[in-house]
Amino acid sequence: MPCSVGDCTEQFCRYGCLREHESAIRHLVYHITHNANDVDDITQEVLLKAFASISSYRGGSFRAYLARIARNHCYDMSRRKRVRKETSLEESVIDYLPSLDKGPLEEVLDHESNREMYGILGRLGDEDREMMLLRHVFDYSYEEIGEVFGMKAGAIRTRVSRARQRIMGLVEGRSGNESPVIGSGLGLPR
Amino acid sequence: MNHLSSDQVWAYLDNDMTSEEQTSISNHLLTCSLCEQKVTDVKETARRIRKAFVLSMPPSSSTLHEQVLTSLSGLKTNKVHPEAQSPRRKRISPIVGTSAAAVVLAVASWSFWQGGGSKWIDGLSGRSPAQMGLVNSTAVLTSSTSNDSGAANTRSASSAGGITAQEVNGNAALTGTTNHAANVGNGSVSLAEVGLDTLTGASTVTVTDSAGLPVVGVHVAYVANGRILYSGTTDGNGRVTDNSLTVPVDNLSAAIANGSNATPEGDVVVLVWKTGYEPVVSYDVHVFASGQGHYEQTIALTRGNEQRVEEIGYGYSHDSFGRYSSGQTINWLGAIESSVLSSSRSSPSGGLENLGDTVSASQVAKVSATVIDEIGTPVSGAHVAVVTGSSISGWTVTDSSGAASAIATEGTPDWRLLGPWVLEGGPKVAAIVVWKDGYAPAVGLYQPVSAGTNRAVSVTLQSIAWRKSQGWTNLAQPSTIAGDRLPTEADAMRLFTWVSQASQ
Repeated sequence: MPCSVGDCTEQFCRYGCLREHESAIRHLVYHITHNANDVDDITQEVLLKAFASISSYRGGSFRAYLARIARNHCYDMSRRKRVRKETSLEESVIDYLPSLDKGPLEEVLDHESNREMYGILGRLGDEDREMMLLRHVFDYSYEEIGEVFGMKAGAIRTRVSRARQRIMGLVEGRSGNESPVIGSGLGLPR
Repeated sequence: MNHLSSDQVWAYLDNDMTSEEQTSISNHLLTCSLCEQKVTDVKETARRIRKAFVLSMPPSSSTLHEQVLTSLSGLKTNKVHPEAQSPRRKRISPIVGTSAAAVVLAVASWSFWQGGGSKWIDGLSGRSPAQMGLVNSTAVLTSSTSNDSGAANTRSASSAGGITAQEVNGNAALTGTTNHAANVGNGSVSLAEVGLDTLTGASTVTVTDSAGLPVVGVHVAYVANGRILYSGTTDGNGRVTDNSLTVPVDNLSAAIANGSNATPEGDVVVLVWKTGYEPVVSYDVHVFASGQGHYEQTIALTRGNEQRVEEIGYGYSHDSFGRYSSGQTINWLGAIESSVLSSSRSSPSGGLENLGDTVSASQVAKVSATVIDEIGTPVSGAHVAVVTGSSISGWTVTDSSGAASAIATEGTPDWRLLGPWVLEGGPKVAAIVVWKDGYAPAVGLYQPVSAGTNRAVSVTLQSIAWRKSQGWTNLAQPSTIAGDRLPTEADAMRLFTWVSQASQ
């Protein structure tokens, strides 16, 4: 059986692999709320909402429909409960993946690099950061991201382009601080 | 040409430019080391961005998926009788429970990974692809003998709306077997040679205005596979009903479903128009899926300029891949993999030879891929195959930067948009399949291709190790390569023009 519980997949995967949707929504929810404790619960709520009101899905990209619901849900929640935590993003980064063949030095440098980038991402506006997530991790097209935010693809392109410029500027800006991981000319193995 | 701005570099890496621009930049990069370095830097930044997002995620609870399934299963289902339905009331679509086809797909062996790196194909009955009659022969994917509850048979039993499934039968190969014969690995089969299976059921389309009030005298037409299946006008309730609508099943769906126990769905395009309103083209509308013999849809028209098709692609659309069950796709992927691996071609980019000597290079479309893993690291040694209909146009293997160079294909007509113009070079699509041991396979359907251009696809392969760390139990579930193209406005307009004129 494809999934370990019940007779599931066939129905719920008709709009795409349910697990993929769970994964994408989890990412989006976490990067909006920054609340590791509630992320699974909220993900579940979002998926339930999405499938319960499936008649409002009028076509186009299903995952954009899901992401739209996720954003609305998270922002509604924070408006009502004000639970949004303002954690310091740089400090909250933890590498969850097991390290593979890295030596201790590489691992430290890598970790630093991740924290630094995550800190930079934290300095983007909320919407910009969410757009970057959808684009860079999940390869949403500009049209899809437009559907999520209710904007035209061209406007999304502009926002993403500006966010990227900002990121690169911040990366370069820090390279004066002797951080050894910036830039590609250092010959560090990938 | 001038050195590249960083916007240009990003757009280039995004594949977000015309193919002329792409070529021109590629050429520039061959000779300009400054810009080449810029590209490398931007790639590195992109990789770090992705990595930072992914690695900052807290681990998933291993019970999340189960909990999601449980709560989705508990959704109430309200199959609303059409007469009782007011335009404003939200219907909860009966995706849960009502249909008898609550398919339990039992792919007999999911223990691919116990042996460590063993092949993921044919988990079903231990039959080799050769026994399944697939490799290098004219063959049909024979039926699986998985242990499901015979759910497919339920569709000929009492399903919700009295569906008649012509020629669609769960345990036998789809009837008209010879029509589905595919020369796997030996070249494309044209649509004309392949008979299409059909499904029949009833349909009701209700048309309202933006206030939710029914509109009378609206034309409604169903189109599929280059034919207008039905055309009518709305009555006083804004409704058009056809009690016996026969729709084809698309050939890709048939190729995937062929021989497995779950049945495919019909797909149609629904067009709705009336003078004084903006026409609506609703494509990829699923009908008669999972035993639901009555298709219902409400479409709202907005007043406006009828020279402009307002809503393109709105209907019960899908992310192309989702509607195929795991079992079906695994079978299909297995057939592709075995065909590729047993091919006697020594050149990995074999593809043009499939198309015969008479096809010139400029008529051929190309597909190339960049394959990365879930963090963003390039994956080398991944197989990339381009599939059209039931055959493989060509395949290759990714190099050390995760790139698969251009694979030639003629594509197959995008049957969702067939019309009288298809002979003049209408829209074409191909499927792309990517796999490597240690990763879950990835599939993208309906990738648009066109002659003389190279479609670049970016693919993420999720490693089995990562899936395990995320608590997946379904480790070999294929993942989706996104990019199901919406029809262009031009295509939608052509479709609308053809249908509205033919319906006069």
